[in-house]
Amino acid sequence: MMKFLFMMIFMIPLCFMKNMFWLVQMMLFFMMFLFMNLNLNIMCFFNMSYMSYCDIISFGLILLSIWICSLMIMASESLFKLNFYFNFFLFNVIFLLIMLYLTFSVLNLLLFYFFFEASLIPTLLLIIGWGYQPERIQAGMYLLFYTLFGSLPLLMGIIYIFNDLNTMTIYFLKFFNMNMYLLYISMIFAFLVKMPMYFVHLWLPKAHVEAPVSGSMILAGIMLKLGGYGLLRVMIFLQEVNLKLNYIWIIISLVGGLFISMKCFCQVDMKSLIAYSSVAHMSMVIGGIMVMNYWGFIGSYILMISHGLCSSGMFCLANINYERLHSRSLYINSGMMNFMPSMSLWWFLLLSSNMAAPPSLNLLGEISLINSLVSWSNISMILLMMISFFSAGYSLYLYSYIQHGKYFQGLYSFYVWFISWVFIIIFALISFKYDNFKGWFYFYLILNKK
Amino acid sequence: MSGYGFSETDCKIILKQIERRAKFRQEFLKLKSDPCKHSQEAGYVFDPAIQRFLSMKSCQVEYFKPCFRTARFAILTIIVPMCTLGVLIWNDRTEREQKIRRGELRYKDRLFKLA
Repeated sequence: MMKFLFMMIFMIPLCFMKNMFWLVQMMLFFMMFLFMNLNLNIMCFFNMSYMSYCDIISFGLILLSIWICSLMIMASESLFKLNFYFNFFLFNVIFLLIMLYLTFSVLNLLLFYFFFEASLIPTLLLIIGWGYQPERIQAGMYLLFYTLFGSLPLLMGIIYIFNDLNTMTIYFLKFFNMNMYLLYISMIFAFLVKMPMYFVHLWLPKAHVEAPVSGSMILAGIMLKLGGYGLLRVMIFLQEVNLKLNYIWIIISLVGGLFISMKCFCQVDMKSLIAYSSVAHMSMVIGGIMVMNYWGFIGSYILMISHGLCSSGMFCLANINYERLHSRSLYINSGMMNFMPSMSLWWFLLLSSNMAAPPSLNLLGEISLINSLVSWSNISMILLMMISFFSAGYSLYLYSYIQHGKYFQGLYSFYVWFISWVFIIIFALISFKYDNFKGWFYFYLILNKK
Repeated sequence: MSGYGFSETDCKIILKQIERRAKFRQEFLKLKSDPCKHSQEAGYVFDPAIQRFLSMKSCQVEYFKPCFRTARFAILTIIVPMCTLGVLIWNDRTEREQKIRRGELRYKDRLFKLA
């Protein structure tokens, strides 16, 4: 595990050398290839050392982090071409990757909290430094203060756990049962804000819309999953009190997910629509984790991975349109199939995955989550049915509005296609489909082992 | 044109509208076909109406003023459905739990045992 940390640290000087933009990006691909070939054991912890470890959850999320970071650099080619502080941008991305890698691999709860918070700084710098509109400053403040407001009780909870149990090692917490309501609220609130759950989701549409393509990709791809990862870890020692209080979070997230899905139909901004759809998907993830059954955990994890890939791809596609048309409005970006018919294939594949159409990994996650939530209560079937229906609805709405029909008459000419974009989209989809087969295979393995 | 059922005043108004529309169309076509304009400067011909609409959508939240009407809407459409569903789910789960404890629901009849 240390070798990857050293590899990332020693990539930092490369960021400031001349003409190293693509080398840094290729090194990240290489690192991902190395990480994939670790001796993965899906049923226990491996590569354990004094400070770090890896299990199937950490492994998948670290892999996703490295992948998304390399795609972020690829998608931000325009910064390199326009010579817009790309050295500092690369340093930002590598620093963010180091923080995310350490967040997912540390054994200590306090260190997890430290890196969880530290990952906000490069994200804020990405939004404020490379964002497009003046509203990005307010969006950055929303992101920062929403997360900080939620995570201060988390810090107090961690310190209380250390005072009480004399340990903060995540691995040992499974032997304890902390049956305290205040501790429970303080531990999970930060992660619910990060996910985000309905009522505390207001930072997400602002941050996603105002962020540049790289910021949107990392926010949708990994930063939301930090909340899910945190919930998966802390639920181990909060099971008893969670079984009493999970009603609140499940109902808020499911009903909220329904309202957010309906709000997607009111959006005129492509990125805003994709951002709200992320909230709807994460609401199902929260429901699956809070239900506290095996299929719920598995489904949440699979949906986190699949949504990370799918949502990042969609933001990438939205940025492709934005770079050419200089607008994210659906009215301007209509009838794109007339100009870029090959792009409509990618839009369709990613939006069909977003609506959990087969054979996407999203389908596997949603099936597992639906099973787990319906096993918890039959009445949740109504909400899940409506969320899934509206998810298909707004995905098709976005696709048909952008691709079909007449194009906006006032468009100026633009370059249709850069070859590098082909690679980004292909890589996003290949990883998605590869994870899909891997996901179904692991699902089969896990069920049989059980 | 007055022979087609329009009065003189209506005819004048319609002709002025046609003239204005033709003038705007010429201006639009001139801007659109300007060879010096390309997507590096701007992606589309600037339309004040579209800009006003997009600015309105992005600043909508700042003009929101909480009042009795909006609070009533929020409570009736968000809080009440959540509480109603909460009560229904609580009752459903409690009843199932009681049935299991009383032995009315046998183990082999329970659904989602292995979930």
